[in-house]
Amino acid sequence: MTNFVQVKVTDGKLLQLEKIDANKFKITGDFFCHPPEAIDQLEHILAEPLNQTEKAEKLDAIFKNPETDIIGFAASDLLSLYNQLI
Amino acid sequence: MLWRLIPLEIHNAATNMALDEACLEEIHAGNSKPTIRFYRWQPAAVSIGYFQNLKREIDLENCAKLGIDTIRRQTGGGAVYHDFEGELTYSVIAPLDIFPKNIIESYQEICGWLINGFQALGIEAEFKPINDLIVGDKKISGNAQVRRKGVLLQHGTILYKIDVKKMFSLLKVPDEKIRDKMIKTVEERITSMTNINPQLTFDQVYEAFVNSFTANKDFEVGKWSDTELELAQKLIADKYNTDEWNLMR
Repeated sequence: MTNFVQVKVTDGKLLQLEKIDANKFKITGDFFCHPPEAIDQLEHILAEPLNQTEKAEKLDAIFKNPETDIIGFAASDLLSLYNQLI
Repeated sequence: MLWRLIPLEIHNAATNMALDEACLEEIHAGNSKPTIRFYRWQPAAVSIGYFQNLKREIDLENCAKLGIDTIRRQTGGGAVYHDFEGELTYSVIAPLDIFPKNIIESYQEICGWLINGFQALGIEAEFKPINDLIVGDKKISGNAQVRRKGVLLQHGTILYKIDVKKMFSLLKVPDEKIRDKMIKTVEERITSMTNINPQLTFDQVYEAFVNSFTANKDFEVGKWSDTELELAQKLIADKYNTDEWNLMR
């Protein structure tokens, strides 16, 4: 079973997701994110024991935070990669 | 607002990235003026974006063999090969509040200075969101930005001459069998100033961009402060030359 998936987002950037273990995911790629700590938050949400709806809502909330700018992928792109890994 | 222009410098990768960060810190502290700098990379280097994985992006063995520096930037974006002969690099480091809050709009504003430089050289470039400049449909400049402590740092490449084969020998490709195909594809998607006008000299290019970046600004030609140089030395030793930073993700 693979532990690494990636997608070149249409009109966006390369997004990669690696499953380090059951409780740890690593997001990499050539996207932009301000502040960078928002990526750490996304990684934590992916590792949380939540159902799909809860996970999607929490990821969305990070993207919708007016203090956060994530450019190059959307919450749905990340969730889609996550679903390929689990 | 009075800007500082740091004229063309040549440094290794760690020094180039450390000077950017030291300048950001000193602008944040209120000790340095908004700064425009131009630089080259010697030895040549491959930089990766803040969120990339160094080992996944770069052929470290080949880089070591060829004496190519490798480094993680504090800005996002992708892996970039910085050839000494082939690239002029710039950084703009200034208080965030003088730029649009919207990130794409702030890219567009600084890329406008680049467009004017290309125009002075007879090259019609245009901004392609998110962070590129293109001529026709080919990329000629890539740009990356970080915002920290109320300061914006944007640096970017101005492609003078390109060697796609060398670039691909330093970057990892997903499948060796398609390396030649990828080189051909990239050659079709990237251009440089000497591709467009082989007569252009590096000095002409540098002068054009100094003029376009400083146009309509109060500026003085300056140098690094002692504090910036000391901080840069510390950052080289404690950050940019460490595996902790470069292998962070």
